[in-house]
Amino acid sequence: MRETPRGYAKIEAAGGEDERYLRLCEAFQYVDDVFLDIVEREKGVRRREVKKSVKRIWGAVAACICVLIVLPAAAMAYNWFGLKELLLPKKEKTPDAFSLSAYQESPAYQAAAEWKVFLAGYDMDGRILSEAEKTGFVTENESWKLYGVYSREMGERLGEIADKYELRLHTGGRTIEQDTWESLVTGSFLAGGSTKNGFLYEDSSFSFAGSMEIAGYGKADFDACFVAVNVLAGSDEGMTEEGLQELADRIDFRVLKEVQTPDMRGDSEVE
Amino acid sequence: MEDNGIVEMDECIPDRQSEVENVWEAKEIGIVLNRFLNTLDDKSCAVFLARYYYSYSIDELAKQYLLSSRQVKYILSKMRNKLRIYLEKEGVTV
Repeated sequence: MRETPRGYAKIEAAGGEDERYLRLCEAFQYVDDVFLDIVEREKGVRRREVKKSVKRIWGAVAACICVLIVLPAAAMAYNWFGLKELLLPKKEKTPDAFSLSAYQESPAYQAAAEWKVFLAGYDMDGRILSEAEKTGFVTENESWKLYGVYSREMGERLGEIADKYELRLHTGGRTIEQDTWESLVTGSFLAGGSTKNGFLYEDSSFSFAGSMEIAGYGKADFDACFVAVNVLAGSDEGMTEEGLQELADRIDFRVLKEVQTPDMRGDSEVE
Repeated sequence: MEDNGIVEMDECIPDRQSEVENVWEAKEIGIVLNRFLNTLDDKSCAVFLARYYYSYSIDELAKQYLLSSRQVKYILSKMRNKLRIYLEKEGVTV
């Protein structure tokens, strides 16, 4: 049985004098069940412990895959937003972007780890965020906005980490709405999948969240490409090594041209 | 102040005196709200509705989704800002 919005009940019980609040609360009653199911589903997923099971996960329709892909040359090939005209100089080395993920032990990887450690211990009680909301902390630094910075201290620490690892911060980007996204990404790359909105950064790297079943991998003509696939979870039983292997096997990397193996470190193996 | 999240929603509601001309009834606002929710990833959608539909407290949300209170507040702040912009874009006044 669907639970009544508590907020609406509280406003009603309080006399419901504020019409604006009541109107908005009433609107919440028309939220589709599919979204309320997400609330329940997320609760369940996060409560249950990951079971160490050898059971295969394919067949689990609810697989949720977050893909972070850096495709500067692919963007040039498809001429997204005129980026083809902004060819990267082939001989001059451009600093890597401070991104969300990177291969193990790379500068970007270490920087992301250090930023994560900082965030875990910063503003634990949320007071600085509350203050920022009240005073309306506004920064002209577009880069800071992209990393969720809401105080000068955070921004300066972010800059320090970037400098330490000789990385550059993203400088801008735009949200890609779902319908725009679907018209940009063609071919069989996302066949069988569905995406929500995403974000395109200034260097043509982009991120999106969605769910998909791996079906194929479209052909792309590019000079250099880095692909990172972050698999959050395949089911409430978690992800197994067998499942990851099957996922990897279903991605056809043969369509990539002139693949250069990165300098693998840690316990990763090159195949 | 009671921690029921409704007061936080005030900042999402465009000013009745704004330049936007159309006035929506609650059901029509609900339609817009559903479209907005469809733009969110599952995690943000779940936290947002748990707060403003089920009126969970910040602490309850942090516990349910294994987040810190700061992270919960940040997510909600970001979502409220997005909703405000979305409602304005859709011409919604309350």
